[in-house]
Amino acid sequence: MTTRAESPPTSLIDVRNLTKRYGSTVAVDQLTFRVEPGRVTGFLGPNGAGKSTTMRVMIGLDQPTGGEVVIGGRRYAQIEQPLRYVGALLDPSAVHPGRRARDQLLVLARSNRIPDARVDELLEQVGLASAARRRISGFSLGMRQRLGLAAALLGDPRVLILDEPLNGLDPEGIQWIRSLLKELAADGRVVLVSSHLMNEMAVTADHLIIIGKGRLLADIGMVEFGVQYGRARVRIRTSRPERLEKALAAEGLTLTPVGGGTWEVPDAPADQVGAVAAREGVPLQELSLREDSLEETFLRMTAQSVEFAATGQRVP
Amino acid sequence: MISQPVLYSEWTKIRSVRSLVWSLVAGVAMLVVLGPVVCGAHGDGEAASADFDPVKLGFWGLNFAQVAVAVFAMLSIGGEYETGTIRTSLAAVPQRGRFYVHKLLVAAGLSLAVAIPTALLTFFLSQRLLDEHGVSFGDPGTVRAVICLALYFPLLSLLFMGITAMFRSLVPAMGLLLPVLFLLSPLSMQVPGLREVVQFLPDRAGQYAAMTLRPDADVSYTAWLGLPIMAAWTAVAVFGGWRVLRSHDA
Repeated sequence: MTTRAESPPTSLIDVRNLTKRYGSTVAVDQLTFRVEPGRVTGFLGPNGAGKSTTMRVMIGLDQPTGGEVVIGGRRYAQIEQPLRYVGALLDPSAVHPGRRARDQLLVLARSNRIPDARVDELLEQVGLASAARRRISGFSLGMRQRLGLAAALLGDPRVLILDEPLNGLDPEGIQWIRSLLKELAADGRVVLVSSHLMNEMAVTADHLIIIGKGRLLADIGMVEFGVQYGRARVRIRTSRPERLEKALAAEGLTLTPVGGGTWEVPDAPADQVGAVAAREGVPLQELSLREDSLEETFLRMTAQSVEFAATGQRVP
Repeated sequence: MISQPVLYSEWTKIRSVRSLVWSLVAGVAMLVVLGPVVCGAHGDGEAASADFDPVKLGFWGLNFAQVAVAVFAMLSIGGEYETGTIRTSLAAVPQRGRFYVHKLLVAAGLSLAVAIPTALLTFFLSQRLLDEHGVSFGDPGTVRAVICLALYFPLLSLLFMGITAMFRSLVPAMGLLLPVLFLLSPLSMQVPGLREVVQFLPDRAGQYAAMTLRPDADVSYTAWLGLPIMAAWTAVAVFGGWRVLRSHDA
């Protein structure tokens, strides 16, 4: 009963065909993915995509309607002293405002036989040592976020589940969390971090799980994501767009105005556009290749998920 | 199975929130002060009246102390729902039955621990202040009254924790239950038609057991039975709270 939770060799999060309904609302829809150790996995999706719900099911707060989540081979509720194996930050405001920061951590530590000394160690580590004896009601969101992170790290867990941990932090704090997450992952731990901002994840995560409307859209490496889903387009500036438009149309390409005498040709190789312009004798003042930012790619992908979900189709 | 770490954690929770500590202190203070003050002010005239009951007078503060104890109980579990701490708590102790049982044990245990000395102190203080109208510990009914007073605190705590767990929220629990405890239930005892029913309410039954030396003709059960009646209500509330906690998403 009191022995430390053993870490099985494969300490990973396994989401198996998870479905969660609240009344008639489907929050998570037959979601299946695994979170592997040794890398930072970004859990990405627009607000309301089902990220928080999935994470709540992971730590046993919500009962799944169908499917299950197992962590290191067990359901969360079957883990003895779970804080020593899984650390979670779900809602930084889910603390008693009348309690002092240190007491809040002591409550958690003592329930899982974590020594009191570890609490002071973590308060130091997250930069709250000077606020340890202050009541949480006076804490900013950033400070609550740090306290929540300290709570998640309390048991030196092999698995970390963090819901929007960068919210409310100043640039310095964001920097600090990023390097911390990378360290934890490099240490062979499972690190799952949710966010609704791609730009945030682009510099934090190594791997992406993207969901929209409760369904899996992509389970892909950070680098592969840009290559596979990113779209290139050719930007040109010309004084004779009409002639070029006609010539491009003959080759199956479209010219779309972006304003200021500038046009773009989506999904086209730059040399093809250049060749057409030369053949037709259209003068070009500019010809450049533009790539979608990761954020644009992500927004396009999740916007589609809304359409596809509405028609009941699956996104590849 | 009792888990010492979870008990310790629940104890830390209570100790680290001022409102919890002070509501319990307020309960103790009102019980120990109010009754004896009234006893000290009593003269021969009042003592000669037919319905004079030295224990009822000495424990008169329970009318107010019970509200503080109820607030303590409701805050201790309702505060978790109100602040969202319940999610953090269940992440640390995901076995809900274990969480619930240990939470109840600590709060009720603490209530009992403060109630035993408080009940004894209140008895001796008030009876001494009543001088020759007072009774001695060991006189018929006095031991029962003191035991039942000491047990009233933990039973009331469990009752209100169970009900608050059923509501899963602090505000409706407090808004609905405190007026009942403070006003409706005692006032209804004065209404002849209602009295036959209201006397079986948990607070009435418990108080009858704790605050009566001589049987009340209006109450249809003996004073000893008051405590089991209250305990039955408490068991139902605790079970109801468990059902709700077990089946709802946190």
